[in-house]
Amino acid sequence: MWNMTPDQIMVVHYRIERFLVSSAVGIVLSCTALTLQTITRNYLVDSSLLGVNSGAVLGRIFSMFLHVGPSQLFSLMGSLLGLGATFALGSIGGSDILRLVVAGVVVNSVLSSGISLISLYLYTSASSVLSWTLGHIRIVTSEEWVAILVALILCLLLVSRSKKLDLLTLSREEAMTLGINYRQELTLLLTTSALAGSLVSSIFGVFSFIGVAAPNMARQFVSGGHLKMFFYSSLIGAELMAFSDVFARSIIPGLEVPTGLIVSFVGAVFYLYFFWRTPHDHLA
Amino acid sequence: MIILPEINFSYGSEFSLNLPHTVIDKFPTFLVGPNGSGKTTLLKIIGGFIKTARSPKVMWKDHLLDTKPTFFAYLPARPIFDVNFTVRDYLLLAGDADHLQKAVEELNLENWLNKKMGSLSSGWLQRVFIARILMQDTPYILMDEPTSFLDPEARKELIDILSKFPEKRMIVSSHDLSFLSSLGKFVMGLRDGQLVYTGEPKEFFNSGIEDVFVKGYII
Repeated sequence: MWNMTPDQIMVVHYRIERFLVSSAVGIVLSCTALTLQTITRNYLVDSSLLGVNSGAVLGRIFSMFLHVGPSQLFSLMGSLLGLGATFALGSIGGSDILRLVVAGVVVNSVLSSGISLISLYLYTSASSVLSWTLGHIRIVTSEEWVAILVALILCLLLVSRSKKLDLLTLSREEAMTLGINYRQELTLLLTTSALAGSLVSSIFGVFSFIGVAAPNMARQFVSGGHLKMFFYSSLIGAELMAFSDVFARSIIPGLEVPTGLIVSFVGAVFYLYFFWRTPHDHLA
Repeated sequence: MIILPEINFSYGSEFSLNLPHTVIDKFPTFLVGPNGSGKTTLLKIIGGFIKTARSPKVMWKDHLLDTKPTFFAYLPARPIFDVNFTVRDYLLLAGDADHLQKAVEELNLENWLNKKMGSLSSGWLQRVFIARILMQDTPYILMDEPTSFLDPEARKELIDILSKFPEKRMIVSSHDLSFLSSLGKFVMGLRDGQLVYTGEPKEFFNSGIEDVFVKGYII
């Protein structure tokens, strides 16, 4: 790069980019999880619910196994396949949200056993499969940056539906009296958040818990509408992710621990701290 | 005025609701009957939440139109809400700040606006729900068992509040007969998915009651 010392290049090209990447991932995971938590009325849900994450890992393993690529594309296809299976299974005999959740759990479980089966017999790459299920922040290619930007734009779309999401906290019938086209709105929000989640997990693998932790930590500080909640959840998610990434790079000199491992740990500790710190009768 | 067509509606083979053509033009109308008699299903059909072969008609701004949810404010038996919303956040779902101000004064909710929904008792929650229903500012209101979680005092308050709005055309599902006797103008009695009584509350207590509930029902 122009007129930069190697140190400057290191900072600009490596550190700042990594900070941006990890923050973007944190934002996407938090926004999608918040949306899904509202739709399913369950504070303990994130995008892994829809079969997206295990699909992504399976796609990736497939591409490694068959030596075809690019692996990100396979991963994306895998996660879309997982999503499709969840939607298909969830729409049998009705189309309520509980069916979808159950279908997601089933698809996740089936795909996970597929992952375990394959990784058991692919002796040489079992550890890389494991590092995949943990999630790994890294410097990305420009194509991958495009995918991240698309995921962020999908999140903006979710944020633009904040008012509708507020109404979706009511029962189906109450939301309908306030002008919500329930099925249409649900389909839009589910598809958007699942796509955003797929894009991220197809590039970086699976980050567990941060999607659950960020909105819940935000709930300890602020109350109310989704516009506010998206903002604070994103802020917390991005910070947690960026902080964990720095930690992951420096905790063992010369060795990079997968960020997903650190973020689950850091997220859990922070979550516990904030949860215990505030009275939580409102979680009844 | 609400015109119900002949309704034949069923959930699988377990339950079916069969009603003749009925006109509802006195309010509050009470749908009474034992559990599982089809009161909630009928409310949902009136509100357009459940589609039937022929749609009920609702008088809306001098026109008789096919029913749809936005004609109504609806209070389900167990309303769902985000426990992390404050009362203010919750109420603002149904209208703007002016509507909020009016409803809050009406129901004395001034000191509760910043409380979280998850921290309210059943009685105060019910007040907040009623405030929301009033804020929706629709001429028709559907309520499903609004007294079921209330103690006698809170129930009396609810009756007092609702009597302040005679212009609101309410349809209430309830098996609370004292609630019916203090508010009701018209009764539809359901039993096992069949309409077994329509008429005034007074006649209902004289003669209709034994068709709706088991004989020897104690009031």
